[in-house]
Amino acid sequence: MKNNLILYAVLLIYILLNAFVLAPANLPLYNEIINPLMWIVICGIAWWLSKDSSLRIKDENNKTQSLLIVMIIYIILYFLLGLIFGFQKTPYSKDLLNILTNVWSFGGIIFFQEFIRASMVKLESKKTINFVIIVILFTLANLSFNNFGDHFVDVKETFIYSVTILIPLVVSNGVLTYLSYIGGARLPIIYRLFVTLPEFIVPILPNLDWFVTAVIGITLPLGVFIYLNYIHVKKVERFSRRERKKYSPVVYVPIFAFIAVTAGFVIGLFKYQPVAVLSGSMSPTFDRGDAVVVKKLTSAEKDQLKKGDVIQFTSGSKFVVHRIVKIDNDGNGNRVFITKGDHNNAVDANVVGYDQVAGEVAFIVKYIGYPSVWLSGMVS
Amino acid sequence: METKNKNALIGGLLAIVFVMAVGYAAFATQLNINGTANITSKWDVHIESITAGTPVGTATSKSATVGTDKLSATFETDLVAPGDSLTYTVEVKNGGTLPAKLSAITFEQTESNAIAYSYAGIQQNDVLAAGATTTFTVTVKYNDTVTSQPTDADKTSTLDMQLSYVQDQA
Repeated sequence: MKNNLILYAVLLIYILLNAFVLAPANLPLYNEIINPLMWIVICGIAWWLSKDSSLRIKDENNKTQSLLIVMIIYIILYFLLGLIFGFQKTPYSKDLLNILTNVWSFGGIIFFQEFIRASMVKLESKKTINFVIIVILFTLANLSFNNFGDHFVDVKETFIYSVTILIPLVVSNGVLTYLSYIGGARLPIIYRLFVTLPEFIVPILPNLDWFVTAVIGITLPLGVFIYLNYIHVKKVERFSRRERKKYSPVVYVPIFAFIAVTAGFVIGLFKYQPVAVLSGSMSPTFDRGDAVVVKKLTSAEKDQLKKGDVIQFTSGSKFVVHRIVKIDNDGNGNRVFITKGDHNNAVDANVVGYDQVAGEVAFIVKYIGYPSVWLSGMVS
Repeated sequence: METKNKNALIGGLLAIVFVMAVGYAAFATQLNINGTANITSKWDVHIESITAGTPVGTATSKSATVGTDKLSATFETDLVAPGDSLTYTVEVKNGGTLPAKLSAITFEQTESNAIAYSYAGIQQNDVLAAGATTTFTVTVKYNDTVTSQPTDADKTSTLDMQLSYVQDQA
């Protein structure tokens, strides 16, 4: 216990020093030399303190293979997402020497950090409190404290920062620490190299929005945990066939499929997309807090629109869902739509052009739009 | 699953990665590539703020908003008479730990014969050190050479600005 207390203290000193002194100073060679050097020193201390402890790891090769399979599948799926969302160039230098420097600066410290984590696990492998402290310390150590306050300027920024960075970092550190318990430093190193290095090595990355980034950031570590836990339990614990079945990853396939389909539905990958109703202008057809499912329209389908249909269209930077009360002509032979909210007394001020029409309301689901209403109320 | 089977599976998956890499190289020109990413784990260059200056003449700023990628911005300005202008000050910050170089600055303007924009204080290949901040100005101006009465469409100008930063090579 005493040895681990020393390690906790050393890591805490690093975190404070890094957050308040070194990172804000923007020293030259910080990434290449100063930061890795600090991790090497802590690594040396961890090695010295834990040299008499050991952790029995069973079936290491099988776990390594299983993790490699999951991570390669992740890489394949990650890049395939680019075919849906488009690609972006990586901002990192494509010069060979710079690529190697980046790999050293950001990949190298993974080895030192995971060796330290494994040492801490070895020193105190039975206590839950040790697990919790390791997760907290490594989360803080990997958080960027430059502009930390900028992420909390309003509710929206705070939400996006939490779901794309903070929560995934905590969840993945939980899983990395678990991997350290069942497989030493090797498993977390493999996991982190697969997640960290592509953006430095591959010239293009999928252009993912924050929502997809958040879904991946949380489901990847959970998926890794479920599969590796199954592999671990199957071989190591003396469970009956029935007990083992409980841990089978097959049980979770429907859950992950459900998450993937729901995420795709919400961000509009499919023909139908849910939209929360934020105003009462269409009452009583649907009210604030309901959700409508909008069917995206092709040009042929737009031609079929008739008076009385409820359509979704863009108005400035916003989407509006109102009813068509008249179909007109803009003078150049293009159809334009005059729209009105059912609850409003007058028609909308601007006519809706053909290109502004996005979709048609297919059906209404009562009340499920309330979370969006509350969230947008907090944001504005 | 047996060790051998798992090795075969890893080999198979790596083969898929290899085929994807070859496919990428072959079809790179046909892929839909939109500029340079700026939200990655160690990279953080972003527009910190945009402030509208004192208008010249009767110009008014309708809006100046930063895009979700934090490196694009949209300016909407109402200009009534020739000579009207408005200058916005844009502040860009490098919050990461790597030096960034401005690889491109592009402007796209809604069509207008009377309104012109200009920018000053920044140019391509400017380097923004880690932690550093830079400011530049974007000016939207109603050409004073225009003599005929402009149409309504000419009076409002929407301007989209996009900055692309890449790692400065050591």
